[in-house]
Amino acid sequence: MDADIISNLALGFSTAVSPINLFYCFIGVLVGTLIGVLPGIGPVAAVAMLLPLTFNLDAVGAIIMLSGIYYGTQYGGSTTAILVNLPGESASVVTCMDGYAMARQGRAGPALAIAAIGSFFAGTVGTILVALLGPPLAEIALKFGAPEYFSLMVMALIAAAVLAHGSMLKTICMIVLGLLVGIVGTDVNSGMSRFTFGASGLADGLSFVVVAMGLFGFAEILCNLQDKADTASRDILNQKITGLMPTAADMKAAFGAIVRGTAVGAFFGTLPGGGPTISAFSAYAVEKKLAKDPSRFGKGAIEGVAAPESANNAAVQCAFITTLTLGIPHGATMALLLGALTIQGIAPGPQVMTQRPDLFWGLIASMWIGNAMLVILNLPLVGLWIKLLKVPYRFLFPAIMVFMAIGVYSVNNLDLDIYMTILFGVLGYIFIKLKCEPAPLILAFVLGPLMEENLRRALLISRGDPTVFITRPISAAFLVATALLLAFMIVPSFRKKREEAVADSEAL
Amino acid sequence: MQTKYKMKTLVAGLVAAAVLAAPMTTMAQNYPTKPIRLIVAFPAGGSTDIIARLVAQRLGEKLGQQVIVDNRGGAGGTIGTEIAARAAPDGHTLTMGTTSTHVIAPAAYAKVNYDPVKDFDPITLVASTPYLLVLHPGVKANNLKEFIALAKSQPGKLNYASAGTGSTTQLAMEMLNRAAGIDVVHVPYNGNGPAGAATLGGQVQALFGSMPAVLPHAQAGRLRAIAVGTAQRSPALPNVPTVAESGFPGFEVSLWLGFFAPKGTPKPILTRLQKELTDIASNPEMKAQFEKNGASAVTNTPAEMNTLMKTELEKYGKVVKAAGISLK
Amino acid sequence: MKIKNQEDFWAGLMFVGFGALAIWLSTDYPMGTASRMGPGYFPTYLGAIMLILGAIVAMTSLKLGNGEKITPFAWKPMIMLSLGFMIFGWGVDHIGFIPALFALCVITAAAGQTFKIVEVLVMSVVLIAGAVGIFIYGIDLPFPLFWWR
Repeated sequence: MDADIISNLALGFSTAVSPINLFYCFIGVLVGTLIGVLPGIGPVAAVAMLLPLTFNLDAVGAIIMLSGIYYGTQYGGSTTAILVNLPGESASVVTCMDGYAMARQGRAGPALAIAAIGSFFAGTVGTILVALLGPPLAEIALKFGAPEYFSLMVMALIAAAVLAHGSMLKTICMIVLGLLVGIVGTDVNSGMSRFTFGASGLADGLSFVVVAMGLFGFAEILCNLQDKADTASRDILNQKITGLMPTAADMKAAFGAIVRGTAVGAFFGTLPGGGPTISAFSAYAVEKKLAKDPSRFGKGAIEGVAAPESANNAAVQCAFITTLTLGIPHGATMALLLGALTIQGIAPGPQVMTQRPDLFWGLIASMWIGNAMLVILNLPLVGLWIKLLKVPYRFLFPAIMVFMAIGVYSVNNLDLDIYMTILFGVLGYIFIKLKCEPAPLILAFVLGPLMEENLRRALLISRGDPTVFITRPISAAFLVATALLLAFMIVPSFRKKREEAVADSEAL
Repeated sequence: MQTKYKMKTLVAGLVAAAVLAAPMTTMAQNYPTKPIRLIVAFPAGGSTDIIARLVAQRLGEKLGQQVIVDNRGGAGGTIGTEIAARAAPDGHTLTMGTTSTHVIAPAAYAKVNYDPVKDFDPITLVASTPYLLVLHPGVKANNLKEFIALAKSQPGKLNYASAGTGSTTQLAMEMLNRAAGIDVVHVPYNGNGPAGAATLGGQVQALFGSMPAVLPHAQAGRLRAIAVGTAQRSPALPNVPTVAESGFPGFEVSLWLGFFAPKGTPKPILTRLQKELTDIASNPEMKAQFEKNGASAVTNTPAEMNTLMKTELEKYGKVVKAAGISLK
Repeated sequence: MKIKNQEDFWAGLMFVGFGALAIWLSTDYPMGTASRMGPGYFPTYLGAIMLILGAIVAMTSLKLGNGEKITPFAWKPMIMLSLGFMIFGWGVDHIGFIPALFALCVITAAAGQTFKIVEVLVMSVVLIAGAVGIFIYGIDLPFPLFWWR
């Protein structure tokens, strides 16, 4: 077994380190980073735009370049989350909270660097894990039926309440609102359109890009512009920049978070549907629970960047494996990668490993190489990204608006998406005014449809018997965990701590 | 005098006609004068998009103008198809129509803003994808007969997965339900991937899935293929019988993909496109690429396409009604 | 009756509003039963939960709070940014990518405090050149450049 792994990895590396494949990997990471870092263009949009670049390559080159593009765009997405509060995908919503707070304190450099370092560590561990346990890991995903998914989503949503640092009640309201926003579109179970007001552009639901660009990007710009003088907003973004790289103390604080985040990410990563998202905010919740002073979170705690970024990247590595071995995409980006593989004439499925070992192990090796290149490329770029923040805000915000508009429009080439972004932008601005946090809403929006769909599916398959949720062991375990989580929140001592935290934040 | 007058009118008429027709013929002769937009009513990376891109590249080479794939996904392909129906009929906008956009959506949706027959000039089919009935290996049935017997012995107990309410995967199984008089319960999933995963994991017992999505698992023995929905057996699985030969003559379900232009596109352009597209789809290299994607190359004529759409609209319309599917 | 916490009061009312809206919209969809839920089941109950929680938030704000007030809205930026986006969304297909981008640049720039026409024009040209270079020539997005396509 071990000898196999070594010979397999040897095959993989010999495939991946051929000069031409290294070149493809580098080009992929570079182009991916450059496109992904444009505000408003998240990984899904970036991968979709760059997909045609790989059509004329051979299969191995194409998948290596695509995975490079994917890592690049993903890291690019985290970069915009930290610099300008624009999450590229649902997992980086979590990064926004402390990452953007750090940027506002002039600590964008350490935030970007720790995101790259955490991702690299998680990527390395993820690669090893996938090489050792990839196929059995992929099987776990198949054990998840509708009841398991439902219980997992319930747990995740309850955990989302931990994210907030304001009023618990308002946070729960935002989660419920997110669930309602997620209902917009065609109901999978009945085929009926709900909350679409007859617009066919809403039949597939609101896209994440629309909701996130509105609530985060658009609203944030409005918020910055409301300050009377331009100088005020400029001050916020152009605080004296204190160091490009994390200090020793930063590294020490972040190290545990990176390790724990990686573990959380590897655990949830194999589950199709929301794996990376659930990983990112579970990792954040874990850090907040373990912290001596949880009130620092949301105000620029470096663990709050390190943990979700590591978790996300570890999850993505595992997601790659289920995508490749089962042909089950984990989300829009993975679906695009699957499509690219089929263009190359490779049917993703269990035989990929036996029929094309060069491709399979070459990809695993290039996953690691891609992660390494990402760090090598991006640590020097941190300085450049920081310089972008020195651009006067009166030039920066129209540029962000331009890229946001193009990013939103390019998802479906649909004008309605732009109008919906305006709606969510104004709504997001109202939320800021009323001190309602948008992050839990977004997470509920992403997970809500999965929750309803699976609840109804579970009851359909069990012919209406609700005991399936407790008689199936995995589902029961999640529900027990949910109950424990709830108990934690309701226990008075915990509540007291929370109120102190709230008082702290209000004192600021 | 009178004849002379008539003559004059005739000449004038001819001249006028020639002048009026000139831009049209020169347009058709110079066609294409600018890049061609190929609207694909599904997101990039999907099976329709892949076939479209394979063909678009070749078509561009043949016409000497780039063919740009414009993905306008959403609402079961009706958004993009509607845009194509409204585009200028000058041959510079084409669309890749499928069974979904030109038959099932008009049959199943309460409101579709285009008419698949009246708003389009069909050009030719390029490919068709078969459907394959697969079972979880734990199901005690080795062929279609045993599966039907099993379903009859426990009515309403078995489940099948589909790629969504109103998808071809549902309609295929509903047709079998009706033809065989069985009651296998529909459990909709969100796309081919999740439906395949649910069947692999044994959450549901059966799936009438599209070939590219389920073939790898059938070949690996993770799913048991018991019948194909096409009229002929598939070259990829020569040992799997068709549904028709297993006792349901006339049963045929497949997903076809073809090129359409907005209604009113000049004849010469349509003829040119049909010739080029037929060439492309008959090319052995292209055929091989289609096969890798689980599709086979098919070509026909505009008249045949119109007949095909009309028969299928009727066939699926009945199933949609019988199964009570209505998408609003 | 004095509102002790305006932020929470209005937030509560907003949630009540959204909850009521959800319940009202859901009346169009069949409810089904708990064991076989229809498309209306989930949104109706979510709406109800939201309405109740929102009411609690609003009522608590009457008693508890430190006199939080809502800061005034920035109407001008809100209108300008929305208008710029709207024209862009409508414009790409109707007047072309470049004119739509130009309108977006100028209108959003006008949302700021300082608006120097030369500066804005230069910035627009730079942004448009960059966007066209990256998106049209770099990665082939299928947008028409002008109204004549």
